[in-house]
Amino acid sequence: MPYTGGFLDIGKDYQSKYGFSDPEKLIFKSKKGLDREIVEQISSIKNEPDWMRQIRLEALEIFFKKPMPNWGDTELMNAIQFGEIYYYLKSTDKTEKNWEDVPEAIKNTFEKLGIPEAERKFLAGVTSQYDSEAVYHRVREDLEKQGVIFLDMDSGLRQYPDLVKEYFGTVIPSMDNKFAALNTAVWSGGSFIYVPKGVKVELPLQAYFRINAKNAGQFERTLIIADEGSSVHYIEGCLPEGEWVSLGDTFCAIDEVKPGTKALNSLGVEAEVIATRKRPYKGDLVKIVPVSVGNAFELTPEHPVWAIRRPRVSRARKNRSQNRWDVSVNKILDAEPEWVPASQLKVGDILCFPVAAKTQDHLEISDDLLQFLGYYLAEGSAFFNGKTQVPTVTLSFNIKESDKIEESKKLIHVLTGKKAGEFRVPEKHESRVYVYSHELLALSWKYCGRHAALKQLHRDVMELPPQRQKLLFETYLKGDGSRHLRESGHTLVRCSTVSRTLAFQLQEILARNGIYAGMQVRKAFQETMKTGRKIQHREAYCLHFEEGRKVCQAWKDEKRNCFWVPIRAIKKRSYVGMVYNLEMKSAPNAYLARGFAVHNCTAPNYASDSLHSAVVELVARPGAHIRYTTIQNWSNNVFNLVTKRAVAHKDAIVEWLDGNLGSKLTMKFPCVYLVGEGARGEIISCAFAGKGQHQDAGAKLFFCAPHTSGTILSKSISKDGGRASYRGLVKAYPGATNAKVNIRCDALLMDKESRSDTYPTMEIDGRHIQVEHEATVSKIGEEQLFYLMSRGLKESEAVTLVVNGFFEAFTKELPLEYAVELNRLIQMEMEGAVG
Amino acid sequence: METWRRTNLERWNLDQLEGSTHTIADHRSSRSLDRQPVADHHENGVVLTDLETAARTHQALLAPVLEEFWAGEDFRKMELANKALWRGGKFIYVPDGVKAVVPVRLICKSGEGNFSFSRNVVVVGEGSEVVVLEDHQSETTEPQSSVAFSRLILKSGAKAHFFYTQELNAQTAHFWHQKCTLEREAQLFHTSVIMGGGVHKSHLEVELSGQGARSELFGILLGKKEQHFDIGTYQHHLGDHTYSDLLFKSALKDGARSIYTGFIKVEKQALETNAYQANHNLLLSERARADSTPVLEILTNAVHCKHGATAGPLGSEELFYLQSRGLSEPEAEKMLIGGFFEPILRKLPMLEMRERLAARVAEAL
Repeated sequence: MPYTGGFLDIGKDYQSKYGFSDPEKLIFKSKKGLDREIVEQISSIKNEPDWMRQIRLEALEIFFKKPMPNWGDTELMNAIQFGEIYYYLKSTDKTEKNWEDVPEAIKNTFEKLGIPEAERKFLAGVTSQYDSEAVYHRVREDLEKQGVIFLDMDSGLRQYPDLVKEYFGTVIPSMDNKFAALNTAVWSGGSFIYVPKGVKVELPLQAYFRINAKNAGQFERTLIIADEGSSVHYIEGCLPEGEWVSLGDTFCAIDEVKPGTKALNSLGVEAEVIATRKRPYKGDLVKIVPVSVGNAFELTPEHPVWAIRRPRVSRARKNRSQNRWDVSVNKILDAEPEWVPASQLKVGDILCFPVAAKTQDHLEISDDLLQFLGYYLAEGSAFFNGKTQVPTVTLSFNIKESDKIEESKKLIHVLTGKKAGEFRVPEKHESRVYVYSHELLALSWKYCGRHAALKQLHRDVMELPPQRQKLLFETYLKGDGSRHLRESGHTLVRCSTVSRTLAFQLQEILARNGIYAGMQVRKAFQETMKTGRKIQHREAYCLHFEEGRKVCQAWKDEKRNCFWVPIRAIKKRSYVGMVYNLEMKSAPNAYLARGFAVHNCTAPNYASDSLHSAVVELVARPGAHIRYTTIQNWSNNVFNLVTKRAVAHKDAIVEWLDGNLGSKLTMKFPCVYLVGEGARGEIISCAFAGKGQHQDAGAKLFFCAPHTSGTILSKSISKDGGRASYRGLVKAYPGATNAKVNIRCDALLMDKESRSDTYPTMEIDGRHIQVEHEATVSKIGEEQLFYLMSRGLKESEAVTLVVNGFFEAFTKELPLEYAVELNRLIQMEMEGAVG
Repeated sequence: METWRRTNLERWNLDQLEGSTHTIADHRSSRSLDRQPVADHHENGVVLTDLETAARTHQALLAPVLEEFWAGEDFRKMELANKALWRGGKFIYVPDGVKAVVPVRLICKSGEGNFSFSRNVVVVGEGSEVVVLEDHQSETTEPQSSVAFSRLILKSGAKAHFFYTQELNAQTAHFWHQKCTLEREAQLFHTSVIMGGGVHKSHLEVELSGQGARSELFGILLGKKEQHFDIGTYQHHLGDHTYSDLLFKSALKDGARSIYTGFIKVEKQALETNAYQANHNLLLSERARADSTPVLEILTNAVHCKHGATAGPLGSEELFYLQSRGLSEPEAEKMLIGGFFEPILRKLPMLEMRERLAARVAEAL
């Protein structure tokens, strides 16, 4: 069901906005791992007061002493390698108030995320955090005048040390748990909000967090204090990192690639595809045409391509501007390539064409067979004779090519032990060599495929040592190719085939033999013969190269085992449709588009995990109202272990809205301590656990005063083997007279592999509290689906509808823009859930 | 250890067993099957005997049962002690196809001694039916640590009503573990009535291993003074098309404390499973305390599972209504408490038992 919303342009290109990653440009990067020195370093870089440094160091000791939790998903948790993480990354010196002053690269990142736009549209204030430091922050002037403080935490500490000192760590002390201790030791960034007495901030304040660098940890610290009678709504957006990635290319039929298949990465090494992504896309596609025109490929503008920028390698020579190839070969060989977004590439920039590195000999493929297969590729067909069902392999030659005819007959005799027949059709100048052989037919089909346009080489052939592959190519050339001696003394070799796959494979084989062959495409056309007969020529792919010439269109790079191919032209076109991307198992997370290396769109750290461990403290003073919304969509390599807790004083209301879609493992149990009479806590949590994910989310409510009340609503969906857990605690102390709490957990399981757990705990002391807990787990109701389908919906649409309805209690509480986006995210996650 | 987080293992003083100061109570009085028309059973081939005797006479049947561990790691210490020191266990065997309608009563009445270890095994053959009552009573008022294990095996199509009653003296620390295995199409109707003891910890495990097995588990808990009850249940669905329902209700007075931990686990292969669980706690005093942890772990999607838990005082509206109809406050309370347990009492199969229990509930409060 395509999304047809768009009534608010804020979220229009929501999905495309994550499709990029930036090179790391850091002012400061702590060394890997954690020790006292790093903590002191962080503190001194931030120029913190002494008491904060003490707090950090004490917390560090606690972190080292505390054991890992022995409950929950211990298996996943123990996979966290604390020693492999960078605890502090600083990419800019100061937090800017003016969007224009934010460093260009970072600005671009957030521009793509639509943050300043969002601010203009509907937010009262914004903070953006990039790795460890806040880079931008702004709050509306009228609020500022009323005394609302909305700062990043570091500035908060600098400007309001007394206020911070009074509240910091009071709601969540370092002793609370291992991850809270870790956060306290290395915290950086986050938000500090103070809303003065009686001030009501109508529009939400928002913070965005993004992890960019490899193996980075993000440890933001948020402290919100709502003074008496005030109200504030804070939204936290954790952005997916390359969640919606893109590529418009079709060389390896990217839309048909299934996770688990193997593909070549940018080093020419085979790697497993662990996930495929697709998304609807509307916008420009960039078509990059290298000098070999047939290798042109298209991709979305932000998609990184492995390239060397021309200016870095051009030779300082005057005014030979017409010659584009005026570059220094040595410079190319020494240059460090970079990932350049497609839109920034320029004509003349040089692309990487990696050579497949894997070589494995298959002895069952004899040299004779290879030579025969060359002929077969060019001239052959293998079929069962229509009437007699005799397996037949034929090669057709020009009647004059007697040497080839003889050679092929000899090969057939060696391979089958049978004598090949010859059938001459003089009026067509044709001579057919044929043999009736089961074995040869099977071998031909196996290694080369059938039907001219669909011929392709078997993977075993592609893996053979280059010298042996050359045997095949030589006989293939005899059939389909031609050689010309040029004036320069070099021989121009050309061949053409109507099979696109074969053309790319031959290009690959040549590359492995040290030859970069250009590729051109001959369009399909119709030819009228003198006799009046019309011949349809199919689209053909022509490979050409000059034998013996050192530099032919591209530069060979022995060291990196690739060719460097310049860009001849760049075109743009608008496009509406699906775009695809692949996620590779091992680094580099990149693959080849028509032979050229393009990156998977995520930041280059799929193989290693990042840790997000935030601490959020809320203080709702008497009569205050705080609402805290999180929609977490981290990429699937992030451990999201967050401690969130609020204290609600007399008549205060605290609401946690917690949406969990991303991350590998989330452990997050937002908590409210109801310490004042009449206080109220509400926690609405929704979780979506997909493949390889464990969403261990929940809620905690502590009733410590009379007439307090609370509700917990948890909704979870597990799909593709994902696991969603609700883990909750409701505790009532004896003083909590006339308290009331209602807990409801619903879980939907989409398939047999998925799992759902409910671990609620209720500890009720004293007789004046009313507790109700209810949980259900089921699959999607067949009656509901049946009903919807009877009203004309497709099964997939019906499922999406039911799921959206299931989450409705959550989405209805969100600001409209978020609700729309969430619905859309869910819909994307649900894609392919049926059938 | 999560299982023992809320109850102190020290209360059983098992470490004392190493010294020579301990004495182990004899289950002298449990030799009788309490006014059973034993002859009737003998005719059908039903075996009612001491476990010691049975270990010899029904070796083939019993040896594997006695060898294996009935409980999980968390209760290993208890089980090892019980395995080593049990005395006066009972064995009931109902052969295939026998409908033993007359109830069999096992009285675990422990005499003097610091410790008491009882062990009972009930095996119900294919298609057979039986009603078993397992009563735990004290003969003395001396403090005692009691560790009881019970095993119930229902073969294909077997049907059993099992009643567990605990009315030990207030000085006793009582531990009870029962594992029930339900084979294909077997049906279990299980009721626990827990009101005695100073510290009580029990674990009832129902393993629905066969296709179409059904179990209904009920529990009534009455607590007063400083009694401490820690009750665990485990509905383990291994077979497909299995059904289990559980309803545990407790009413707590004074400083009584109840901890309920209910676990439903639906394994991957247990398709088309229905599992329900409800725990309701009535807190009748300021100091009463109820903890409830109903856990679900569901590993497949073709299921329907639901659990609910509540805790709270008697409804003030209901009390007010009854008083407005002329009842005194104590009367109204009594009536409401009676009503609280009514859904369970109603399900009891025998009228006599229902009335007796209703009387006990009224008396206890």
